[in-house]
Amino acid sequence: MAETPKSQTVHHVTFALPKRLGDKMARLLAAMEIPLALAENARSVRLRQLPRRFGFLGPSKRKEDSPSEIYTFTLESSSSAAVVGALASELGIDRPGQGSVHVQEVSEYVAATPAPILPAAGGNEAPSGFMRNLAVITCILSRSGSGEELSRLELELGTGVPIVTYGSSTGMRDRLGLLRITIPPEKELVHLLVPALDAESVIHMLIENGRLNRPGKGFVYCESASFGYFDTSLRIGHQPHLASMEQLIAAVDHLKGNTDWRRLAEPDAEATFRTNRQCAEIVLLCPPEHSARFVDAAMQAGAEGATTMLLRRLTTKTDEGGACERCILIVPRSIAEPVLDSILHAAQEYGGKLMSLQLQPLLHVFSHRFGQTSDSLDG
Amino acid sequence: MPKSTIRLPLPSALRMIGDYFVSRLRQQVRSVAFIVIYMVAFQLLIFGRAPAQALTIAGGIALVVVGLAFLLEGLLLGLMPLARQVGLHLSARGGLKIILPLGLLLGIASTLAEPAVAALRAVGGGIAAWESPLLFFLLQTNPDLLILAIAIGVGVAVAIGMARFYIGFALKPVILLSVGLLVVASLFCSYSDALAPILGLAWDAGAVTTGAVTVSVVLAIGIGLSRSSGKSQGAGSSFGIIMLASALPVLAVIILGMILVPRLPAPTSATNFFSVEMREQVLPLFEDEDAFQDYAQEHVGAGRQVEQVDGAPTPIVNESPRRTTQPSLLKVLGTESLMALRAVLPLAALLGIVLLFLLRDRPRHPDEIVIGIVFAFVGMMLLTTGIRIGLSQLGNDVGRRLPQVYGEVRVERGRIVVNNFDPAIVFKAATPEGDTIEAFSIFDGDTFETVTYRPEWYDPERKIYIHQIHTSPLTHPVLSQIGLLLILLFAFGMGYGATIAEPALNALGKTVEEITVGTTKSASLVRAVAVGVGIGLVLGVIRILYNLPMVWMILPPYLLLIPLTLASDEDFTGIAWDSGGVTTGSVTVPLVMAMGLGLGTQLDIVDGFGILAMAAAYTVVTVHIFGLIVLVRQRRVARATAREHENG
Repeated sequence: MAETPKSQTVHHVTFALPKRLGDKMARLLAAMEIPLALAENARSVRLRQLPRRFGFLGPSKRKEDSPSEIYTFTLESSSSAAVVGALASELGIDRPGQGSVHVQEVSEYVAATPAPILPAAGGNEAPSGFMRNLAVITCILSRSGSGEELSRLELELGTGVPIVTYGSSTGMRDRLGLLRITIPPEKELVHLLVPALDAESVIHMLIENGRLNRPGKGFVYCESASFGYFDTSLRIGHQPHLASMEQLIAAVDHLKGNTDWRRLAEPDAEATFRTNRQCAEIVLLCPPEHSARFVDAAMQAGAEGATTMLLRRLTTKTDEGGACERCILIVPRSIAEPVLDSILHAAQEYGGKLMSLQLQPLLHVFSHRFGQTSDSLDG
Repeated sequence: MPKSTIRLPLPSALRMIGDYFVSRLRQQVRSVAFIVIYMVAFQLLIFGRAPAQALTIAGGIALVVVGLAFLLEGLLLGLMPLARQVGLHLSARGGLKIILPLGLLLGIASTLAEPAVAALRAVGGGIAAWESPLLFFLLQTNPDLLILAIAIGVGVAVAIGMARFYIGFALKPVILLSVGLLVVASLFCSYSDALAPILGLAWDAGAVTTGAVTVSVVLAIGIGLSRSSGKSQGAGSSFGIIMLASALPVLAVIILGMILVPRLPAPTSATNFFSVEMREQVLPLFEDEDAFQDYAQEHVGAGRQVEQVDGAPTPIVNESPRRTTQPSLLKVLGTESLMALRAVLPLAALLGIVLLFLLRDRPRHPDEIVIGIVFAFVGMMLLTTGIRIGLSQLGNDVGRRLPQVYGEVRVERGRIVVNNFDPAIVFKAATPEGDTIEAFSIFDGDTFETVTYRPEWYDPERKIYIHQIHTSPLTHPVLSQIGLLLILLFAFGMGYGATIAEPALNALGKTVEEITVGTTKSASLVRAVAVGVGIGLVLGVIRILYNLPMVWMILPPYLLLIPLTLASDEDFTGIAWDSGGVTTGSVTVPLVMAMGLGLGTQLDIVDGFGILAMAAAYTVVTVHIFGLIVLVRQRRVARATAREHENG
């Protein structure tokens, strides 16, 4: 038990696409013989600008939801750039409104299926036109509409199109006995892709304006992404200029080849809160309704709880379709190993129900709890 | 094993429980508010008086609110997760050999559990045996046969619907095929005198079968199945079972009718029906000879009874008005708790047994499931009790008074009281058929009017003759416009309000919102459905008032639905058609019946069928239109983003 579990570094690819591209994506994944991809229903949020009624000056803004889907799969590091580049150009990701993509480096302890060996055309370089050094910010909120406000905030920041998914939480709730029924487990996850340099200041803005530093409001964490492509169609409808601000930004990004130039303000040095930089994210996949035993095992090793979501499996094997559950556990890095051990041990005991287990260090974590305990965790 | 349980201090635990109850109650207060305010406003503004028995009604409404909160929470906490878990494991561990029998059983169990047929019997209570022997046979003599047909219809539907997720074929062809079958069958029936009356019953049967518990269980199983089978694409494929469960019973009842018709007498006149020559054919309609004799006594005019029914005893006064007596709370609570037990327990037990013994799995939180089932039971009991003593009284009250409103201008309460009546002024008149009737003339200071004389309206002791006006009120020139408008307005608002409170619809809305990750909001779907029910009720009431043929009411919406179904995307088609089946549930059905009976008593309407079917049909139309609007908006988003690209 004491030995460190073996892992290998792989690339985790996430496509967030408008729903109408779903069928095309499924076909492309099958054609490329990606053995296992996961699909999740999501919604993307944009601002629609309308001319004011009765001829008043300026546009009025309205939030507009559209159905989206998130596709995730894991590739060998050497082939990811080529595959992602090919998929992105087939899907026309470079056009605004066609969705976004990002690729993250993760350590994989249990692989769902062996990562496919695909022709590595472009080597390990990001495909042309892709941005490097990105970060993904995820807010986990209780589903009472606070996500609406947060995604509007993110839109106003102008960094990208927020994508919202649903999940449910286990952990604290389960330890309340029957009293737990008074706390709805449903959670809303708001994902946002930002340039890595901006991540901290965006998180600070979200915490401050979204009041995440109040108890029970939610949870925000940020992980790095090696490369990706933004969806810049934040605002639709009435455009006062020939090109939208997002298009101009995208054009400068393209010219400069990076996003460093558009760094937002330095994070507030006088902030009353501090994000925790000593945490890691453990992501596990298992058949539906089986996550409980792994979450229990993780909690015994010190994890606080987990957020679970149901995904669709898209596989090349016809007999293996269906649903599976993904659990996200945020743990201090110091206990990541015991937690992984405990999960792997549980998997052995229950006979191979664990489909995949991945670990990724987090850049920032903040919640009312983590914010307060950050000092003790740092030390 | 999770970490040790956290023990909260009592005050904070109580506060959590308090918050929980208050938030659930607040939600239901909001959903019931519309219908209550609407009906009270009608009473106050149109009739200028407060509802009778305001206190009882208020108590009933409070019960409805609490009941709805419990029921919805119970469904979401216990039954739906249980059903979803069953669905998730069905395709992996079950396969078709478990899915098909389970679907059949579920459908049959749910039909037997929820008392749809009681509602149908009430609606068709005034149908005379000679007008439609078939309806009479199905509703009064042999309702078990009708229940069986409906149960088989629902069972086959649930089995097919569940198998669809497993095998993975598209929904649209299924919808078009079943609607096509229904339309052809209905057209066929409408050309036969004997079969035509059954159309209303059949379509209503389809609408009422799926109650709150069935709907949520079936929805949740569908979600579980469609997610785990993985053969279906997209979100909307989780839907469609409820639509089938509403369509196939219609077909089942029509087929039953076709089988029965040759064995039953054809519709005829009352005179002919009770004649000795017909006896041989008529008797199968009744359980035995005695039942026939009793029926004959009740329904044959006093004067002719002796000649037509051999040795019939004392004449019986005709048309004792239907009365709604105020039942005692305890008695209602008793019967309703039995009904609630019947609605919740068999389905919960079936799911539990299948999960534990066939699929060999157990729920993560069995205590949560159990408490959910208890909540659902308590909620169902309180809800139906509250509806019976509160909401439907209110509905009945308004329904009853509305026709009076437009009776008032010409003749008060539709009666003329003749004092000091002298039977000697009665004279004899002949009908074209050669019968002789008695009549006399009334002079109201302006015009003479000759009316039929009925001995039972004459009180010889007080020498008073009370003439009841039986002309159809809508033929009345002055009042029909406003009166009709008021009735239709009332019907619309009542349909809209009752639907907003419908627990099954709320469960569907929550499911849709969950699956679409909030792109289709529960509230907007509920509103679209409510508008559909409102329109449906209006048209349904028009049908009863003018006695229009059922087929002309049913065909247009369904013909409209074919292009709508083809035009909308697969996801929304499933949602829309399922909404049609969901609409008519525990709140709507009793309220619509109360209104229908209230109107019916005043307007002398015998057959109230068709309102529920109309509500279901127009719901599908409005939800489709709502879906198309959403689709157009989303396409606009896509186009807007594409155009930006071209500009750039």
